[in-house]
Amino acid sequence: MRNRSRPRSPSDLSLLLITLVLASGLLWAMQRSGQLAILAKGLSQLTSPLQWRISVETLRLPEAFRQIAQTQLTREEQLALQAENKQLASENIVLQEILRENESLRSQLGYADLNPRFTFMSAHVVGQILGHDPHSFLDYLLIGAGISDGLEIGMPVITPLGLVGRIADVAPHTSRVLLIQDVSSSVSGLMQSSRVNGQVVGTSDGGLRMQFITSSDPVAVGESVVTSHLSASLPQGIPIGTVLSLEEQRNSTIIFAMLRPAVDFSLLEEVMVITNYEPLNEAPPLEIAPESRP
Amino acid sequence: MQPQAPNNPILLLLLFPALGLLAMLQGTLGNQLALLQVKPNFMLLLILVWTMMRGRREGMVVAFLGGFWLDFLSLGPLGISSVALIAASFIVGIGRRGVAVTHHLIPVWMAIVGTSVYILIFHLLLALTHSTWTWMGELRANWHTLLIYQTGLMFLFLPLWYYSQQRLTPEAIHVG
Repeated sequence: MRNRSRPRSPSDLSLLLITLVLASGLLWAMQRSGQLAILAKGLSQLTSPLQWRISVETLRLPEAFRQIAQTQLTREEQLALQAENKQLASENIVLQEILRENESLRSQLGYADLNPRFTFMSAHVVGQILGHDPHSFLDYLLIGAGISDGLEIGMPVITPLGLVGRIADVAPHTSRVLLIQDVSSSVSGLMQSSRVNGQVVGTSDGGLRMQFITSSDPVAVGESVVTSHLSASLPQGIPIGTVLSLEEQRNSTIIFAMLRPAVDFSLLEEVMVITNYEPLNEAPPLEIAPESRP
Repeated sequence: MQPQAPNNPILLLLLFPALGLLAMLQGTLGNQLALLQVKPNFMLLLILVWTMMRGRREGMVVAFLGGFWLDFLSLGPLGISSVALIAASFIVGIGRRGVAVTHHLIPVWMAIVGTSVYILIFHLLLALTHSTWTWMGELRANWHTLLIYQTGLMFLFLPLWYYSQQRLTPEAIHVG
């Protein structure tokens, strides 16, 4: 291919590099000062429906592949049943999705009935930024509800099984949830049996660690941990996890409790946001749904 | 010297929504393809290959646009991914001159160097903008797994790129 443009010097390349880096910095500064809010709102309105659709379709992919792999018919049978199989498989996927959604919503409804003091906003998970790829060093979850649904920063996000996290950022139609397993997350926890209070923080491997426990505290492996009344930003009594192991510090009376989260963050499809919780120290306790009891 | 494809404004306009789509896929399909909690970074792969095939100028522009989408869709601080991707494109592009783009070590070079630069810059910027984040622990936990995963994907991705380039513009690739 003939290059019709004039020869470019290394200084052109450096100029482009500097321009792009400065433009990136400018974007960051404008975002922080709120000057991109209108642009972000418009772009979010365009992308949110597509993002949600892609999320739903990709969730169906493993099931579709599994069904294809399990088909071990002869070539003739495949040809004869091809149309029927396609139709049934498609219907099955859709029905299973509806069933799963139905079960999830029923569960959420039951949970909401047990806790009439709070108003819940149900939301689809539209994007997960879990694990540890270069763009997911922070453990966030994207949900398909935002400012237009009344969500605000700080609102607790839960499932009937337990605590998921808190709203960290809101856009018109999506919100970012800071998961309790994130390294920057900190939640006051209470051991249900021993009534020992501590601080539950996320670890870099995606787990949970409860700290500020002393070796004289009567904690035990397998004990359930719930949100504490000391937490100003969360209702008390929401399941956080169970104690997996206890780690002692050398030459110290402080011990750590490693927790297994009550919620499997990688499998989340629906969550509930408590939209009317007033962060008070004397918040009413949440009832735990029977199926979420250990 | 390998020829530069001319900058086409229309291509860039079409590229912007296409990169948005790729970023959405990374946030959704990427979860299905996670290996040992490490998700593939499609955007980084695309930009590295783009840089190697079409030069640093285009690579850096694509990196800027792709990074914008990654940050926008994750509601994160805008610009961080762009700068990290631009840096990866710039560094990987240095090795482009005098090397046959079809050499079998190119995917390894691109994946290791490009991913390392991207991770380093991204971590650094995240540490600057996110005061409570413990970046060294994260680096140790992620780096090696991600490098292996990205290199493996690069071996899959690059032949597809060669094939599409030869089908669409047979004269665009000059080896040696």
